[in-house]
Amino acid sequence: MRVTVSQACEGTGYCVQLCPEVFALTSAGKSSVDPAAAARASADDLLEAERMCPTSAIRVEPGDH
Amino acid sequence: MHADAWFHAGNTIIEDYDEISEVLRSASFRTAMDAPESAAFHEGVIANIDGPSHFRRRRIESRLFTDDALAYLRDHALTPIISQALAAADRSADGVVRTELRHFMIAMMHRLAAMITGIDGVHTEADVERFNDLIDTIQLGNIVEFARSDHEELIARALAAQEAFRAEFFWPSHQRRAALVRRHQAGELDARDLPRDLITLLLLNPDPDWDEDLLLREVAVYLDASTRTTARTAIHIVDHLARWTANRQEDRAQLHDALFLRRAASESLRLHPVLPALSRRATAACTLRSGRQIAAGERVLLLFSRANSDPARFGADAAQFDPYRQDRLEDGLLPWGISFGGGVHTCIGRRMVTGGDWFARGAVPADANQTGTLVPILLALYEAGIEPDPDGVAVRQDVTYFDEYSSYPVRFTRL
Repeated sequence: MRVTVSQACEGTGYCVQLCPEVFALTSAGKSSVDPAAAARASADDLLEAERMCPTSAIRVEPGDH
Repeated sequence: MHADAWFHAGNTIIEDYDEISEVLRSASFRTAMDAPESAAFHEGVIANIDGPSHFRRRRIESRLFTDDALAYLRDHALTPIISQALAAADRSADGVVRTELRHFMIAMMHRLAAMITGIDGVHTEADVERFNDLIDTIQLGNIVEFARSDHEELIARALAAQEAFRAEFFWPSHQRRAALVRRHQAGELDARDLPRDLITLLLLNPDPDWDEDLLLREVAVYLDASTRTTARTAIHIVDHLARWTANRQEDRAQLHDALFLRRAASESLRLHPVLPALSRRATAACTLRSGRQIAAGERVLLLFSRANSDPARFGADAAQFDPYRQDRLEDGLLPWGISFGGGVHTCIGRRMVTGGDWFARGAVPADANQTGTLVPILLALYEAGIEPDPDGVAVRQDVTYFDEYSSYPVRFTRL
């Protein structure tokens, strides 16, 4: 799956709690994605991270980075 | 203790934008809207829990605010509710349609909120009026910590309304959904045929830690929060835009433009925060990046208004309304400031109010399904020719610390 985090990210951190192997918070307090880990992760987990993001910053789409 | 005394006494007041942002995102603080007198209204509700239980609750309830859920609400609930509300507005003897905007907005939003939470029986004008009265009174208990008047009297009224709401609206709705969930769990009903609302979600995902009234409290808080933010903000927007366009003829046509209304919405939210304040309690001694030291157990009161009008952040004219301010803000600064809180407790319903990721610089409302409640309502109101009624008098409320009108007369010039 292809996962992107937009500048709408406010660092609420739900994605990190749901998928710590895919998402991490940067020193600026924003979420970043590990593309290789995203490719290996469960689609259901990634879609839940997208759904749970209160700022709509995460987009999960079929395909690779 | 008198309300004013409570509001400030025993609390460390924080009004700096960066300090508030840091506290809201810090693991060293927990929620602290914990006055014992209001426990009957918000003990254990989503805004007042922390850690794993809060995460589990967000995980369940965020399903109410997905793109699909919001698009469904807009197309199948909000749009017809707006049309019906405008059609029902009374025409005065002079042929002009007039209404009091606060009541108009709250009645409209209560119908929507009833669908989101799963409360049946809010259809006729009489139903809506009864429902409005009960929720309006219960919310005095929800927000008693922000009330200026005698807390005991407000709590007594709110408790009576809570019992009436339980019997007349909550329990029948709960029982109907519980029967549907039982049929689903017995394999007789597909998940797609279940209602998509808060009560059903909570019945499908029960938690042994919840007491028997948790659902009632959670529903009541949602009914209040999902109504008032949009209602209050819409009035501020109409007020600000009337002044803004009075001397800017070129912007009058913009009142029918979704992007302009989004800008106006964010600016109004910045100037009139959703909550007067939030409180947090330090779980351990810590030092903020500013150097401020907080002791373990210290309760801090985060006041949003001054932070959201910080000239260093929002410009020298930060106290003024300017729908174009967003274009001048530094990258990463939210156009509404910290009005919806921050960190893990960022308002769960923010997208329902504002829509999705539209505030980034240069963003356009490309996805019409993500405009939230505010913009479609404003578009409909301006299409109907809304403007402040020159024969009416707007009145600010002083019962609570909320920044809102108790009455705002308007007229519709194109109905």
